[in-house]
Amino acid sequence: MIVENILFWIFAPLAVTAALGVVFHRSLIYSALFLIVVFLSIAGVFVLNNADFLAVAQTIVYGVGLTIVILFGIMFTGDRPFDDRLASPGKRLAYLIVGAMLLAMLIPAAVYQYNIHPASEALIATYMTEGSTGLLGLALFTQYALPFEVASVLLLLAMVGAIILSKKQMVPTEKTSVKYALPSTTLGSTAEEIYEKAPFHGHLPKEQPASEAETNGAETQEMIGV
Amino acid sequence: MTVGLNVMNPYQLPDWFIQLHVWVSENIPGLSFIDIMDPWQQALMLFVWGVVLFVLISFGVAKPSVVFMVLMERKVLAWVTQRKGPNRVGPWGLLQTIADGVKLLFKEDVMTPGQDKLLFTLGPVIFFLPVFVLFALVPFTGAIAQDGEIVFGGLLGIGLPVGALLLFALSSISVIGMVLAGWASNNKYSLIGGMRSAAQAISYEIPLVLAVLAVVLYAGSMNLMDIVEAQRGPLGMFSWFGIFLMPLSFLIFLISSIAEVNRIPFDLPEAESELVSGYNTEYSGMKFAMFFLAEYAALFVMCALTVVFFFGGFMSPLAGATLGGIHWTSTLVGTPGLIAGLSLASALENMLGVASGSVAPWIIQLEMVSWMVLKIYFFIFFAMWIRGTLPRLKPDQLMGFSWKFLIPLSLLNIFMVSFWRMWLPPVKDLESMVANFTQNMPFGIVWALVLVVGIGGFCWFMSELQTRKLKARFTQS
Repeated sequence: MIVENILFWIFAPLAVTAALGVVFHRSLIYSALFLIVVFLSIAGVFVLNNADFLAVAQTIVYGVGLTIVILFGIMFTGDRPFDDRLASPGKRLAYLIVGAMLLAMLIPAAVYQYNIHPASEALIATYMTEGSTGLLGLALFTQYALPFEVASVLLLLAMVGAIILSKKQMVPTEKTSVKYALPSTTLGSTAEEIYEKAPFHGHLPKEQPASEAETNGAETQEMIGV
Repeated sequence: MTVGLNVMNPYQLPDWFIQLHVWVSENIPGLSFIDIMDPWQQALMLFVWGVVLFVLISFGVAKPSVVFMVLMERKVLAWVTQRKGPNRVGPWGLLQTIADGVKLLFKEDVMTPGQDKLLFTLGPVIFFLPVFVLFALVPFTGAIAQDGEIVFGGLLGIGLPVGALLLFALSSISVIGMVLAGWASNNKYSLIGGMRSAAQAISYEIPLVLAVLAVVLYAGSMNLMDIVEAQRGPLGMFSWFGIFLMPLSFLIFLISSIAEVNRIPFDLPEAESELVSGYNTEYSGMKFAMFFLAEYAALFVMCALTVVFFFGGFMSPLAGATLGGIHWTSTLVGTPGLIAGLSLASALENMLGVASGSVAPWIIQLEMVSWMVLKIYFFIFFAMWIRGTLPRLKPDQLMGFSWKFLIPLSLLNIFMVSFWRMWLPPVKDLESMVANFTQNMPFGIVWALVLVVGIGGFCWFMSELQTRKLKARFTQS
């Protein structure tokens, strides 16, 4: 148990310190890096609690996937120093209250859960030899099937919403309906015709007009200096 | 079993290791808190043992093989393009990489004032570190057990129940290093290289993991040792679905793994014709060497994973088969109940006329390592061959290929593999395999038709979509 405690007192303060770094560092890119440290040290705490699958999932989804997207955004928009006007004292107070409320909700929930479902020795042994993946999968598809599905629908909604917001052409407007119609151009009127006559079709025209070929040859001769 | 081994031993620690720890805890006062009874302490011991092996593997396997691979790459490319390759330093140019390494070591470490010093240094380190930890997770050989007791530990740093998932977690961490390097260089080409690498890694991680998900589904475990064990069957290596039943996972995995390690035709993050050298443009000296080493190490690990997931890992191609009246399996190996078919060891036993399992453990270990290394280098050669053959893709083609083709295909693949799992579960003897086949023949025929129509239809649909897109583009212009 000593080792467990030592490791816990490495990971937990690291997580808290890095979390403070996320909030207080003035450079956005360093904040994002601190966020990675937070997620990875929480993954370490998960490992200490025999939640190996959760730890690895945390690393993949939050530690890398999420922060890569954040870094992506920062790099597109530039790493501007934080503007103090964005957080007025009122807003700061509001954030503090929300955070404190969340904490006040989470801690009793965790303690309650711990008290009603203390892990048995056999369960811990199973976790340590076979890992938690199988048990987690069983729980998700039997006891917690409905919350699982609801969460997945929520994620799907978020994804569809993001696509709709970012792709303005998907909203049917006059412009898009024109875009995919086939206007009569110099190339032809039907799609096949246009496709055949398109300049960038991938292969050269079958036969070159003789006059053009001659002029080309003459130009080349001039360029060489014959 | 001897000292204190009637205690709970959930990790199957080797005998000599526990004896060593008992000795340490009894004789060294500072370490007397180590309690052999406690599963946690055993986990710690396993960790320590893993670290020792990890250092051994990392310095004994990874670094020499990377040095060799650089030379091999140049020689293979020379062979493809009909040149001689490096042939000045040492016999056949064998010392070329060492000379290059010395050159890089003595180069000046250039940093321009606009660069973020900390992140610029951190980039190569974050890129380098996870790749070398990956070596600890790959099972190079299995442990050997006799009469249910492990007598010879395998060359596996850390065996975990979530090994397959942790591999991808770690390999994705190195992407952060690339992005940071691109950002901290304060160079637009580096930045574009870093961004491309991030986009590419996110896109190709999904088909990669989905392809492995099919393997995990069929093997029924995420432990790499169990996955290797599941590939032993009545037809040897060929009974694994990777060859006959399910080649699709393997193809998806191969393509995505080449994209994950940023090699031609997917080397957009370092496309030299457009981005100078991509995210490592500004790097020189040892930092550049770290990028270089880590890239080759990642290629090695990816090829090792291809072998572990699809080609029987350290087992011989005949693992578990009965051929010519001989059952090509000699010794209990690895996790409890794991039997590797080791054809050479079996052949030796048959030749000498001794009982099964009497070949010395180190010979079997040597055979396992040989199979593993042989298979890995075949795939490394394959990757180099591809590099010498195929041209580079455009960024939009790259993204489209992953999101519109590989991901739907890998979802289809998982669907199919789950049916295979039901129809033809992994069995260990030929009789039950044949029985499964004959019992489910009508269903199998229908399913095969569905497969052909499904995959063919999907590929036709995708190509049709592409043609229509092209037509629409020409209409616009």
